[in-house]
Amino acid sequence: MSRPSARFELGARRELITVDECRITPYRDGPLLVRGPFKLTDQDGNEIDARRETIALCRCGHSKIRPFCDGSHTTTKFRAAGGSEGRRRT
Amino acid sequence: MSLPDPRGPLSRHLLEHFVQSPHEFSSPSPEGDPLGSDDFHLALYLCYELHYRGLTGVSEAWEWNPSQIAFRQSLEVRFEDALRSRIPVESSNGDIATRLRAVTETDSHPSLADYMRFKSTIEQFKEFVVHRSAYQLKEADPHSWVIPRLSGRAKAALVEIQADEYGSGSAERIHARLFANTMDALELDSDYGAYVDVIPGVSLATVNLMSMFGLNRRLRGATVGHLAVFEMTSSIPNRKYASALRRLGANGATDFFDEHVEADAVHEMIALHDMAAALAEDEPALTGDILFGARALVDLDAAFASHLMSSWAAEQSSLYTSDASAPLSL
Ligand code: FES
Ligand SMILES: [Fe+2]
Ligand SMILES: [Fe+2]
Repeated sequence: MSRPSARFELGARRELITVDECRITPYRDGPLLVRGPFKLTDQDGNEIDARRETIALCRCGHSKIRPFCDGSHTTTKFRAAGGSEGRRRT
Repeated sequence: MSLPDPRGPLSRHLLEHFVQSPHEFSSPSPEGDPLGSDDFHLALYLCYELHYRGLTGVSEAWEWNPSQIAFRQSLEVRFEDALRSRIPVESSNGDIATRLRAVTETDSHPSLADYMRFKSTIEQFKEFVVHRSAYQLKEADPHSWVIPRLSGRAKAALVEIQADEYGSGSAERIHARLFANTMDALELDSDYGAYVDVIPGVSLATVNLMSMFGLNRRLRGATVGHLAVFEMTSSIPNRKYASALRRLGANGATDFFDEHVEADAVHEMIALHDMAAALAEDEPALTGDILFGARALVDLDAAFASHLMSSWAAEQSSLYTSDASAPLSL
């Protein structure tokens, strides 16, 4: 077996960098999931304890533990795309 | 786990053999309602327990003993057949996320969580916790059997959920530990298996379902469907259970339920979209079983809930006793 090329190593490193980024994903009919290194604060900059590595932020407005999601989107039949929607460029 | 008392021919037969060193034995043909019989489900629960924490005084070599496995399979065949004959075969149209959501909406049983929230007594809440201890003290373990049977996206998603169930590296945050804390706060015995003698078949069946799915590779789709619906139907009831405890003044016992409101709102999305939908896309042949696992969970949970509600409506304990004239108290 030949040794991995420099390009391969660069590629592998780039992949690691990607994993180190924060990723925010809107899920269909549900919350925004936040993964990776992030800091959650209130508007005065005080940290809000996330308590887990992946968190769900409410985007339906009905959670009783905002900014976190508490599953209320199901009861209120919240509908939204699992991605970007309705956005216009001028 | 220490050995329970037998409840009928199947569990008696098994316990008589288990206390001896492993040997060949022939099995009686399984009797009783495969969806809820106390004897049937205790016997099956004991077989599965050999794969989890083991049974006190029972040789560990029984785990892969061919007679034990044959006996277990004879129960599994009847259990699975009974489930499949109740659950309609799904045509494979429509996207899986929508169809799984629809499964959770077919759940028409009277809401146990609403009853608990507004009406339950502390004794009834403690009974509920005792029933659930058959699973929660090994929470997440049955679904972990499926990890080596998945690959790619579905595997990564399942492990993301399980890591959180197992406390993301801190033993005191393992969900099974949080449940044990709740039991302690309610002055219940949180030792693993402490209450197996009083847990009826209808409750053990809900746990046996997950063990059967998890231990049979061919049922990996059903495990994934089961976990998806489990996570999808968790946050809202857990908020109600936490609120029941606050109403009853048991504020020190709420952590497990509060944690699940928040955690399962995360798990729901991962389980539904990243795990179940990804698996259906990568292995379309498993779609039917994903839905089967989902419906089987809803079915058995409904039977469990109506057992509790009807026992309490009749002002009786919902726990198992071999002597109906001796009321149980926890
Ligand atoms: S998005 Fe889940 S409660 Fe609002
Ligand atoms: Fe959990
Ligand atoms: Fe969960």
